[in-house]
Amino acid sequence: MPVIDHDPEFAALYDRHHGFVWRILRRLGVPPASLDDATQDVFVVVHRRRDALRADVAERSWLFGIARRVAADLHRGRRRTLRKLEALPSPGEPAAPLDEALERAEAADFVRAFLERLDEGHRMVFLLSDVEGMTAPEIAETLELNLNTVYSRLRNARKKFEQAVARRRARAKVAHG
Amino acid sequence: MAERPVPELSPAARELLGAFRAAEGPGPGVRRQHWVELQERLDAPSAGPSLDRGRYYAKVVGVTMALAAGLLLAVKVVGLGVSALSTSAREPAMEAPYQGGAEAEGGQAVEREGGRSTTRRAEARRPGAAEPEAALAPSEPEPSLEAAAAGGAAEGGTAAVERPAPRAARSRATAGASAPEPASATSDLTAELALIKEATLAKQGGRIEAGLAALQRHAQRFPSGTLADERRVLRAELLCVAGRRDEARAEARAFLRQHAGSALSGRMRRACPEGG
Repeated sequence: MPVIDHDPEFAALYDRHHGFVWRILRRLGVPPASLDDATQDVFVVVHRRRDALRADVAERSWLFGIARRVAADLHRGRRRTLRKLEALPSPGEPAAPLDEALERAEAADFVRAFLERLDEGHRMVFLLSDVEGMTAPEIAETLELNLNTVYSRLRNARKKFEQAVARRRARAKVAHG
Repeated sequence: MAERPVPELSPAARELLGAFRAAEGPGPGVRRQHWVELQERLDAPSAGPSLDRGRYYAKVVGVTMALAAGLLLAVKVVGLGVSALSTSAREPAMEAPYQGGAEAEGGQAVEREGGRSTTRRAEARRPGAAEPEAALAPSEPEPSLEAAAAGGAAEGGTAAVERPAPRAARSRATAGASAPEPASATSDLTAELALIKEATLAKQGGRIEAGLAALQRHAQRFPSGTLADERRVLRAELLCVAGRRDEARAEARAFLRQHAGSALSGRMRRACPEGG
């Protein structure tokens, strides 16, 4: 009988945050081939130490800390530098969307390329806020930053992102007449 | 101080980020698969990545230390032999140039002044003097390596029990008996490595039976050897390639039950995947 079947709280936590852990590990540079193992490693640690989760700490802040450690262990163990994002098609020449899936893939590529251009400090704040939906105080706690720094980075990152979105739209107009 | 408000994202920007989030996610199939695998790992009595990985790293450190200790021992033995030959063959005055001018001068000064700490150094160079070995002992590399190896291998606390054993007494009492031990450990490991390497090369060359035979020899000679885990992973991989998938998967399942968080568990999981 599986141990965790008796632990509905853990099961619920897993359901809530599996995607979050996966995406964060990916953003922390864990290579695709290691994402399965790394994600499981995080939840094994979570299961073992779930009693240590304090009520005053946001779940995702705690998970982020564990994920960061697992990713760091992985990098140390394999002597690998952070994975570079895949070479992307130039946003200046968007492929004509043949169907909805292709359009979504192109949109995801555009965001990846944008994130690649952001510096690390802004990137993680932007990701945690606008992709993962964390609040500014949660992000401040997670990344051990001053709250004003979080707001400042988020404001800058959003501004740059909106500018990139506007350029993309303009290029698409030109490309499609 | 009031912070300037952060502007909200436009709908177009939110849509792009939504597409990115979906593309970056693992997908429901992966989540279910992870859940099943996670249950297996947590069911295993020794579940825990850091614990098993810690053991694995301790093993690696231990092996490295053993090899280094063996090498240093060999160097020391050779060095002492050469030193004994050269000391008996040379007069102190002939040795002085090899020690550098300053030390030779220091030796003469000590003889004039007497009683200073450098006296021992000067006397140590004299053939047949009784003190040199004792005076040299603290600077020998071997004891510190032994202590380090004991500390690295015995995280559970046995190092604290073993370490107080008097170094000098141990080296005197077991000077003859202790020397072969590192050499034996080193040669065992070398033999283990050779068999594992043989099996790996056989696997790469598609010589499955030869690979399995090498692993069989390893299992017979070193049933609980340092590289026993590597042997099990290789065996599962070879069995899978040989089409003996049921055996391979049984091996993998047993391994993952026992070493759920092992650094080799990922490789073992991929050794013979279901439906592969």
